[in-house]
Formats: sequence, structure tokens, C-alpha cells
Amino acid sequence: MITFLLNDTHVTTDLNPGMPLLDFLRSHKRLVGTKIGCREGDCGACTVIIGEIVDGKLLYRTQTSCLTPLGNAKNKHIVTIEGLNMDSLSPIQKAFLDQGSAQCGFCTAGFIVAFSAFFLSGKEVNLENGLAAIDGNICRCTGYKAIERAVETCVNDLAGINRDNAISWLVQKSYIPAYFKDIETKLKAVVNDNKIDETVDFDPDNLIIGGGTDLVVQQPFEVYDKPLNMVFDKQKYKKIEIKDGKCHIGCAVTVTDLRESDIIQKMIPTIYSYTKLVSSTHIRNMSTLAGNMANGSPIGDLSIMFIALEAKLHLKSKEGARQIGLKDFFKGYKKVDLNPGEIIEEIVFDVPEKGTHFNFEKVSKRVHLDMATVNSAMCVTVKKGKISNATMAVGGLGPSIRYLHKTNNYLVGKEITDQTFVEANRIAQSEITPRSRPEYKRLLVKQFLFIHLQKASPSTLTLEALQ
Amino acid sequence: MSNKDLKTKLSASGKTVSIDDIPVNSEDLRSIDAKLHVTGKSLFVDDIPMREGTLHAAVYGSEVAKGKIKSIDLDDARKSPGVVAIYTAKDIPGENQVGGIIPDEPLMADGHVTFNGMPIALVVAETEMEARRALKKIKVDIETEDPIVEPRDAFAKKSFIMPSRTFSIGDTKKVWDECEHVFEEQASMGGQEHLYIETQGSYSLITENDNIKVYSSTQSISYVQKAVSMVLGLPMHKIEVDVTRLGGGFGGKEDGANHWGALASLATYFLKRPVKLILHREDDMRMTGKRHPYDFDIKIGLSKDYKILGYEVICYQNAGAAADLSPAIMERSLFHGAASYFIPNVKITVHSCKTNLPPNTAFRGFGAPQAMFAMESAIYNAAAKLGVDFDLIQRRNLLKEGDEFPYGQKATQCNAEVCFDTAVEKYELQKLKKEIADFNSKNQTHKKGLAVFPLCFGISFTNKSLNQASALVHIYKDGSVIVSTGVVEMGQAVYTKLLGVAKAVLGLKASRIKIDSTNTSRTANVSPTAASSGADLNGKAVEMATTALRDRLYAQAAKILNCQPSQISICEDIISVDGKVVKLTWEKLILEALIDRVNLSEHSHYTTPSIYFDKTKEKGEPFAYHAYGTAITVVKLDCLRGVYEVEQAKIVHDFGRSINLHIDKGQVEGALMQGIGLMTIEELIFNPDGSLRSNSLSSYKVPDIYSAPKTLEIIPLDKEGPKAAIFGSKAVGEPPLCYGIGTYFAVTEAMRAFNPNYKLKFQAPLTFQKCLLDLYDGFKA
Repeated sequence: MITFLLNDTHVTTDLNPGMPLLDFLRSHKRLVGTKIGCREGDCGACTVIIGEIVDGKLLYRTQTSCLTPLGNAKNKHIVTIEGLNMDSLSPIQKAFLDQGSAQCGFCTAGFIVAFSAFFLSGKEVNLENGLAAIDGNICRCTGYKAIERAVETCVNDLAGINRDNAISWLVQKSYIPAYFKDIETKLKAVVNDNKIDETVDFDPDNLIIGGGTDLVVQQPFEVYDKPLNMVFDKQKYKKIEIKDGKCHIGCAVTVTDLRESDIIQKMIPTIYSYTKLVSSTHIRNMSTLAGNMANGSPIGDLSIMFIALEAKLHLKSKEGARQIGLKDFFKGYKKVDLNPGEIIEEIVFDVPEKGTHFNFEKVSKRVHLDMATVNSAMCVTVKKGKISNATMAVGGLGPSIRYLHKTNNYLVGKEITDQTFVEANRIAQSEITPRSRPEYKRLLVKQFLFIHLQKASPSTLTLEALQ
Repeated sequence: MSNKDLKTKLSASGKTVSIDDIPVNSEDLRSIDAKLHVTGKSLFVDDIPMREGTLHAAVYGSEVAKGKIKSIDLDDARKSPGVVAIYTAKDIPGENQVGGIIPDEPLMADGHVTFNGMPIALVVAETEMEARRALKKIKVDIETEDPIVEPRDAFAKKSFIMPSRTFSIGDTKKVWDECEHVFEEQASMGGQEHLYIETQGSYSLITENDNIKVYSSTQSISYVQKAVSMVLGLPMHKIEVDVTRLGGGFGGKEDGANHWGALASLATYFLKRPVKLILHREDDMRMTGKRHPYDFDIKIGLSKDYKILGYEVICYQNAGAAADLSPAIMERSLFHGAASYFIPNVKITVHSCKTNLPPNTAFRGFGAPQAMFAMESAIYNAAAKLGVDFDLIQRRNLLKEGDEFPYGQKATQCNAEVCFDTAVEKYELQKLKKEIADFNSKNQTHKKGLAVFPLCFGISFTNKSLNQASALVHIYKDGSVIVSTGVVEMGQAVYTKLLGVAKAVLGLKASRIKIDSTNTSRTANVSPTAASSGADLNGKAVEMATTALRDRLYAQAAKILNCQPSQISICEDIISVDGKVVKLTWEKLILEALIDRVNLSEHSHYTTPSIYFDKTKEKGEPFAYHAYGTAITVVKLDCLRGVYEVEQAKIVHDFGRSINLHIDKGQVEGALMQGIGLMTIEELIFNPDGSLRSNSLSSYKVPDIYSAPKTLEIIPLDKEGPKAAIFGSKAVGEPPLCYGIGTYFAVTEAMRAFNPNYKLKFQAPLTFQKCLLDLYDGFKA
């Protein structure tokens, strides 16, 4: 049984937990304001708001319902456009109407839902954050300027929002219906009555599923047909903590959790901006780090970053526990060193030492909300003017992510100069074999190596080195 | 609509009513559809409540681009759970044909396949998932043949859709000798996926006596009606097609919706059950045609003072596997071959090359952006080689009043120069250029670039017979009004414009008037909603119908009030005589008219006057008028990563006298973004075997919110509009898409600021890949 709150109602269903939430909403509840645009999380027309109790508080985030397995709705508050409608238009709806932000209208509800969630999310209210909240929504008609104007209007209107007590504020200003005031209490009762089973079944026949962002796209029938081992809501897998100089990240930690973690912020503040290049807000709210690694993609942004951070995976199965270096985990195109039923429990890495520069670069067809053409991350540790450790990893060059052993080895002990770069690039070029678009990808590797080193030592490297 | 925007006078039976006299609430400017959209209450085909017993269909498309079908094995698929029926070409009771202009496109492959994704079988099952699962069990054995993917290859093999056509003026054979400078180049422009967020779809119902009602996401109810009728071998009166709105069309649902309407109806016809067919996104991308990729050979000749004396362009249009709308698109490329310039000697040739891509089709701009890109490329190339500013050559050759287009029409109310000069002045072009030069001299890793783009776009269907429309207006006895036309609402807010016209003429509050769905039983033989003409043609028809009704009602009111009709006026429901409000209410007037047996319904028919074209001479006056404008684009390029962003777009656009500037500016903003996408990041990639590699939203990227220009300004040109435009308000759907072309050259400028020595190329889209490679062209790898 899956129990949750849907808008202002209580829902219990025994439907297949692998069914996309989108289909449940449209076909079983006739909430057709949530639209089908692409079924791969790339358009945002099916965006819903999902509220859950985290550390005793109600936390709202957005997800694309096309990729959300119904089972992940358990114990949540699901809000669709119908759940935001009131007798008169909300200021967000009115702003979209007044600014001409809706043309054909097919994407509009997705935008309104995503933007409404922004004010519930507890984020600082400003234009940049407001636009980021809808960065996973595609509009083919308006060219976005009218949408920007609507966002700006509402951001100005709500600049003084009390973020600690956002819901009553928003209800008072008619941004959301009054029933939202009772949700926290109701949802706590639901959670209390329907505890999530924290035990893990390592049955090799199960399909292990986190947020669903990869599996629901790649294997929709399997997700529907197979028994699911759903890890997304297991609390023990949602932790980020530091123990004995090592950072431990649970397998159900999402990219958003990582971005917004105080621990990560203190340790590697740049992760916040790097992860802005990872898909969109809605997808980051769903996709887990472990999922990004387990799918074995040769361009997994998080995989690349954590290889550069020299992370290890803690795996567990019926047979027991084992550890593997992330860079040794990838065995070929979408092939990883993971046995059936085995779970990545944790991603563990050493807290970077002082003097370490961690950089991430990504170029894709579109700057945001896209998969990398080539991506790369690198830690460069500089001690007394010389490199003491280098860890460049590159994706997009072939069947799996490349860790540039020779280049990294060469760099140790060197000063960062034009000459060092030129030689390092020569070595890097010799240890890569891009399968497609080799000329472009080789050039990108060169540029990225340059940028990694330049960021570590801006004053000792010049553009001439690229000539 | 604001009164200042509506200076055109309406004439009615000897009386002239000024729209200036009609107060209009500014809220009426907003899209009537948007009120539903923001609450998620607007219904699209997939949202229509399903009838009992509805079945779901999915289409099996060919996995290869070209070949002979040896066998189709449906046994396993038929046994798949939930499957009710599977149909192939041999089941079609009527003609297996959906070709619009030329009957060369089977609905389902029969014997041969000619493109990857070509429908071969239709699976009908109890649920969509069951239909999709069954698709995987279909086995088709095809003897593969080598496909043609590139238009120049088709040209070499003489594989054409139709005979090539040429427009010319002057004599390009002789002119090169008179030129001081002559440059030859090649250029190309990629296609574009429509990416309407609502995919193609259709929901067919069986009604009494085996009539069929089709809810279709189509820009042309009549085309779908005809296609269903042909395929089923039924007379058109047995097929009713209804459209409430589309979740985007952009041309992709002009001819492109026919297949899905016909396939869903085929199943409905046999099974006597409602059948829904909504394309999965990847199927939509793989199976449907797109904007035509073009290749060009261009040659330009200039005088010493940079007057363009001669221009020759050969266009190789990649039409795909069947004609679809390619002949009409070819025609628009011919019409826009010289873009917004007057050139005394021009020769434009288009070869419509038959390849093995899905049949390419209409897309906002309809062949014009391609032709304009070739012209601008020729000019840019000349400017770069001569070391003069691009905009200097552009400005010096702009169309002037009375100049002759290569197709014989003279430019009238020509606003090419005034748009350009207004943009230069209002946006301080020289200052902008100076700022960019300063920025570039101070920054090593980032460079900016600027380009100007002048626009001239002909308005009318180039097929004369399509330039007609009708409207049916009823006034019910409670005084409420309903308007039906053949125009399809797809986000351009044309219903809102029609409402504005009806409201202005009848003098009623907006709440009294409803624009009804678009339906073949209420409006017959409808032209597609295309060619930017929807508001003009259907607005004029509504104007005619409502004017006739108003005249009858004024006469009735005069009879009741004992005065002359010319003394009557109605404004916001209030009736006045000589400007004095009287007691007679609108409701009362309607009731009295009904009792007096006055006809409260009107059907009108509008045809655009005076347009013609003689194809034997390739001369005539095909356009009712032209729309003009100028865009200035500034980009900022990250030279380390080869990525760029559009910083500023500054536009002066010729709206005529816009009847709804709120909506029209939205059209400019949206079209510009689509045009920028076309020229920058939207890259259609076909494999050599003819399969589409960029076949999903994850592999084909359209602009997202961060792709929008950081600042965008639009200044409406202050000029009267032409009479052929509704209330003088010019068509606005397609023309501003072409502004995106400027982005290509702005990026090129920025690239040259970093690497002046790279070999100039004219290959749109200018992807980040091309950009980085050229930034480091000539550098050591």
C-alpha cells in the first residue's frame, strides 16, 4: 500500500509502485493539468511539488512526475496545479497572465507549479533563485522573457517573505490555498502510521531504484514489472557526515542534498556552482549520487567529480561488504563492478587537504540542463609552489570515464607553468582516444586541463600556453 | 486593445465608426486562453475525458531508411497481452495516401520504406503501455538499400521532388564583369525540430451511422478531414474534425497531423471503438518531418562603393522522402532569395532534393530563413574580405519604396530603411560598437560581437487559393455571441484577436462573446493556420460578418428608437443615439430583432484582394504586403570553452498598427528565441544510415531559460499599417524568427576578435563545437 497526501486529499493505493506518478495523476485521478511532454525529465511539463517531513519539518521540492515512481510518493505531499488553484488566480498565475507568459499553454502549469514551489522551498527570494527554480522547464513559445517578467514581479512582491513561516505568509497573500496550513500535521500523521521499512533486501532479482531519473527513462517496462528495492526514502542512506577526516555520503543523497549540505558547503564551497551544470533543479531533487555512479555513464557529472576527489564506494550485498575505488568501478559502457542485488551504500572520500584546488568543467550542446560532451574534474594540491597531488578525470571520451594516470603522475612535483601545461597536455592527449568527434574532444581536454591548472595558479600560467 | 493602437476606421453602410471611440479594458489585451492555461484547466487532445471502451494505438516505424519490405511478422505482437488489432498498409480501405501537394506519400509503407520511422504497422491495445510493449514484438525484414541523406548527393543522383525553379531579375551573366569585387562561397543551414511540447496526437470517435469525429492536434482541420476521408474511402461529410487548441504547432502540424488523424480513425473505423493515438516524444521526433536543411552555392558582386550589383544563389533543399509542403517552401525560398535588399541582377534557383529523411515540412519561416541566411552570408563574406563593416553593405543596399523584387512585385509602404535607421539611432549603434571594441581590447578570454539584421517578409500564402477564410457568427436570443472560423489557436492568441475584432465591431463587452472551437461542420474547406495569415484572413472574415450583423441591428434599433441608423452607436453593451445613452438594452434589442424576424446569424467569406502570381513567367504580386524590421544582436563569447550567450537583442519591428501589442510583442520574443535556437544550439544530426541521432530532448537541445537574451528590447515602428492587414495590424507570426540569423554573425564577429585568421564558414547552426574548433583553428592541437 502506498499512502500519501495528494493536494488536499488523502490517498491510499495498491497500484504498481513502478508506475510513473504522472500516469497515476492523469489516468487514475484525472489531474490532467500535469502534462506529458517528453517522459524523460527534460521538459518540465509534468512538474509537481513534493513535500516531505525532514528532521521534523515539512520540506517542499519539485520533481518531474514522469520519472517519479509512484512508490516514491509514499508519505509525501504531492501538489499538482489543481492543488494550487483557488477561487481567484494566485499572484503567480496573475503575473503569468498579465505578462503574457503563457502562449500555447502546454508548459504553463509546469512553470506555475515549479515557481510556486520556489516560495515554499525556503530559498532566499531573489531573481536568480527564482529563475533557477524553473530551470528544468522548457517553453517553446514565449522565448522566456515574458516568464522572466512574471518571475520578477512575484519576486519583488515577496521580497519580504518570512522564510521560517513561509506557508502562513503565502496563504495570507493568497499564493497558495489555505489547506496548506494543515499539511504538516496531516503528513506527520501519515508518516507515523506508515513507517518506511528501513531494512534492505539484497535479493539479486530486485531492481534497485533511487530517484528513478535514469531507470524510468531507460527501462520503464522493467521498473514496472520487476520487484523494486526502493532506497530513495531510507533514512540511513540519506546522511552526509564527516567521520575521522572522511566524508561519508549515503546512497540516497540527492544532488540537491549535496548542493545544500552545510558540511559540503564548508568543505568544498564550489560544488554549489558546479552542480548547477548538472541537469535541472527538478532532476537534481530526484537523482542520487549513487545512481549517477551505478548507471555507469561515461559522462556522469557526479562520478567525474568524485573520482577527482578520490572517492571510494562502500558496497554491500548478501555476501557481505566490500570497498572499491570509484575510478576502478567503471568497467565499460554502462558497465560497473556491481553484482546483482549489491548496493552502493556510501560514497566516502578524504576531506581535501589545505592547498587543494578542486575544479569541475563541462561543455555540452546547451550550457544548462544537458549532458556533457566532455566533462572533467580535477583536484590540484599545491604545496610550496609545487604540485603534490593531481587527479584529473575526464568523461565523454569513450565507453567509460577516464582517470588520466600518466598526466596526473607527471604533474606531481611540478610547478604550474606554461611549460608544465604543454607537456601535461601532450601526455594527456596520448592517454585518451575519443571515439566520436575526436578533434573537438581532444581540444576540450586541452582547454579543461588548462583551466584546471590556471584556477590552481592564476598568475603562473598564460594564454600563450594554448598556442 | 488601446485606442491609440486602433486608428483604422471601420466603414459600415454609409457610416464610419472609429475604433478610437470604443473604450477597451486593458485586461482584454491578455490572451483569453492564458486564463485557462495558468490554472491548468485548458484541455488538449490528450486531456479530453475518454469515452467508454477507448483503445490506445502506437505506431511501428521502420528501423531503416530505405529498403524493400520482405516480410512483416505480427504473430508475437498479436499475442501480446491487451492487443486488440494490428493494421498494415493492406488493411487500408481507401487510398494509402496522405500527400498534400503531390500524392507521393503513403500513410503506411507498402512494399518499400523510404525513411527511418516511416509507419509500417499500427498496434491497437487496451492500454498505451500494452500497445507499446507489443511494438517490440513486431518483426519486419527489410532488404536494406543505401539511403540518400545529403541534398547535394541527391542532386548528383538527380533525385528530385519536382522540377527545379528559378526566379531572376536583370542579367547575372553579364553583371560580374561590371563588378569591382566578386566572391563565391558555399553555405549550409541545418534543419530544426519543431519541438511543440504537445506531441502529435489524435482521438477518434465513432458516432451514429459510422460517422467519425476526430479530435486532432492539427493546424488544419480540413487537411485532416480530407486525409481521413481518403484513407477510409468515405465522403468528407462523414468526417468531423474538431480542434480546441494546440500545445504548439510552428508548422509541424500543418500537413504533419494528417497521418495520426488517419491512423487513429482507421482503427476506429474497423473496431467501432474510440481510439487514441498520442505520439511518444521519440516517435514524434523520429517519424515526423522538420525544417528543411539547405545547402547553398552563393556568388555576390559589388561595385567599388559596395553596391551589390549581382547575386546568384543555388539552393539545395533537403526535402526528405516525399513532397509534403516542400514545393511551397521552395517557393518561399525563391521569394525571399534577395532578403531585404534591392539588387538589380539576381538569380535564385532552388532544387528540391529527394532524400531518405522523414518528409520535411512547414516550420515558422517556411523556407525564408534559409534563403535569408544565404544572402546574409554572401554579404558578410564580402564585408570580411573587403575589411568593411557588415552593416555598411547591408544599409547601402536596402530596399526602397518602388524597388522591384525579383518576382516582379514593387515594394510599397517600404519600411526597410526606416526600421534600420531607427534601430541605429534609438539603440545607439555606434556607441554599442565602441563599447564592444573597448571590451575586446581589455579582455583576453572573453570577446563580444555585434551584428545587425534587416528583415523583409512577404505576407500571404504564396498559393493564391489559400488566401480565403470564412466566419460564422450567431447572436443567441439572450444576447450572447458565438464566433466560429477556421483558424486554429496554438498559442498565438488568435482567438483573442478575433474576439477583439468582434468586440470592436459589435460594441460589446468581451464577456458576451465566445470564440468557439475550430470545427469542419461549422467551417468548411479551411486553409491551414499558417503563413502568419490566421489573424488577417479570419479577422477580416469576422469583421465582415459582425459588420453585417451590426448593420442589421443598428437598423432595428433605429426602428425602435425612431431615428436613423447613423445616429446609433453601441459601446461596451451600452446603446446611444447621437452619443446619448438610451434605455434600450442590448438584450432587449436582440429580442426585438428576433421577434421582428431579423437574421441574427451571418456567414461571411473573405478573399485577399489583388494578389496574383504567374508561374509561367515567375512574376506577379503574390504578397498583400511585407513586414519589416531590424534587429541588433550582441553576444559574449567565452573563448576558453567556446560557449557564448546572447547578451542583448534590440529590435525595431514593423507591426503596422498593432491591434494587440501585448500579444504581438510576445510573438516577436518567442520567434526570436526560436530563431536563435535555429542558428546556435539546435542541431539535428542524422547518421549516414538515415537514422536520427538527435532523437530525444536529451540529445536535441532547444533554448532553455538561460539561453534567452539577457536583455531584449522591442520598439514598434511608428507607421500606418496596410489595408490588407486586419485593422492595419501586420501579421507577426513568422517574420521575427528571422531575427535569430543576426546571432550567427554576432558570434562570428566575436570569434574573429579572438582569432582573426580562422577560415570563415557559413554553416548554421553555429554550435559550441564549431565555435571552439574555429577559435583554435590554426593553433597547435
